[in-house]
Amino acid sequence: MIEWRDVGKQFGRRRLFSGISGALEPGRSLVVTGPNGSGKSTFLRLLAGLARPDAGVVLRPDPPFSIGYASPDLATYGELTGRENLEFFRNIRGGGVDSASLLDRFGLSKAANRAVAHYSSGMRQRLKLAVAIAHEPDALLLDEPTLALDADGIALVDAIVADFVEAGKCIAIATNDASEAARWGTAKLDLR
Amino acid sequence: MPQKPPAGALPNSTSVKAAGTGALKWFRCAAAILAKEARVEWRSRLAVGSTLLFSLCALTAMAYTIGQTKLQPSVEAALLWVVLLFAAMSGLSRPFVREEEMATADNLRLYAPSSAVLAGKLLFNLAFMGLIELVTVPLFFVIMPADLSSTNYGLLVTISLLGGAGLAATSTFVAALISQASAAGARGALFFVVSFPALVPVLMAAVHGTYAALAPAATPPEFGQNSIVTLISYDIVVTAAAYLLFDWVWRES
Repeated sequence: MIEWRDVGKQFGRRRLFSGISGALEPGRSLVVTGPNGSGKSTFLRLLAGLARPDAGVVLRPDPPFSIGYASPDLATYGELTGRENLEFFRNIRGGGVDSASLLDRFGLSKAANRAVAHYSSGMRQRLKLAVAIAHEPDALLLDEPTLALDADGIALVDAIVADFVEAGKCIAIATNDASEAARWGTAKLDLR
Repeated sequence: MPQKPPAGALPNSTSVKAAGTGALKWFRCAAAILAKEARVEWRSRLAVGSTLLFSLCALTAMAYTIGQTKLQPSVEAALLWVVLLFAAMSGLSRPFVREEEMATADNLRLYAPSSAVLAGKLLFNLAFMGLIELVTVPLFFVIMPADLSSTNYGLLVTISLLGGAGLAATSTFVAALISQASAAGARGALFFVVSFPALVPVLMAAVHGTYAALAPAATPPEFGQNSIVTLISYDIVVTAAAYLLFDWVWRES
């Protein structure tokens, strides 16, 4: 479980949010909504430990508790192929799902040996999602996960969310899409 | 009959917890980062290409300027390290700066121990610096009208390796520091401004040691030995400081 207490974040004089408390509970999916610039992505970065709150605390369990994270602001290595990217992340994390299974599940088998720089935006998004779940994390944080995805890709995200909830793991998703929020969320945090 | 995997699990997976712990996992991670850096550089050839091109241009310009004028060994030593310094500056910041520019740095922050990130990138920069020296040092003595008849080659190689290691270690840590500067355009200038003062001791020792290697008869024996001791001490202190401070630099945001 990831918990946050009285969390606030601001950039310069501009306050994004403040006084937010809550928890990412196992088996429940939290949908983070709000208009552009409300701090959805920043909030997920706080949960991931990639940014620090200006007020309050974010409590994450110690390792081996692991987090998977996918965001439009996070890229894979363009000079490497899809397979090499997955192998690299598997190696630095010390294990996880084998690359061939992931490439197959995410529909990237045919492009496995092509440099990611030559992928379409949808294929890159699929690869990011594959990287995020490749180590079977205890918590998954997805920022705009359907960005650039086709119908099959969106169905893939639906399946990932359902799998995590069914497995009793933690998942948080930031989205602007009301239908996605209604489909995925068992809990909601509105940052407007 | 095979059991159905639990929901959320994928087939053919290796448990992260069972895949090795402690030192072995750390070494695998550092080795993976080193291999990734080498592969990315091999495919883009940005740092190696620009650095070697700089060395070649600088040496050619010096050769035309100096002509057949015979230089003192002390001047040759200084010129050699000026070329090595500026060549290194153009390439050693790439491993960290590229991660930020390509928006891949957060992957490493999330999934890799920070000390393994430092080790992987430092090892890459050491190899990179070794390659630059392997090309630049012989080329320098081919192009410049130097008298190498009395050169102490063992000392020259030792000083080159230790001095190069000092440049690589300092540059790696400073690159991690400046790569997080929000103004991307300022990173190059910041890198030089921050790293240059820290590199003065290694440059002084490397120039003195190279002078001792080029003119062993004109310098007392302890001249070269003192340079070696200074460079070894510098390399150890910089690497230890980088190891101790890196987590704070890498994760502070």
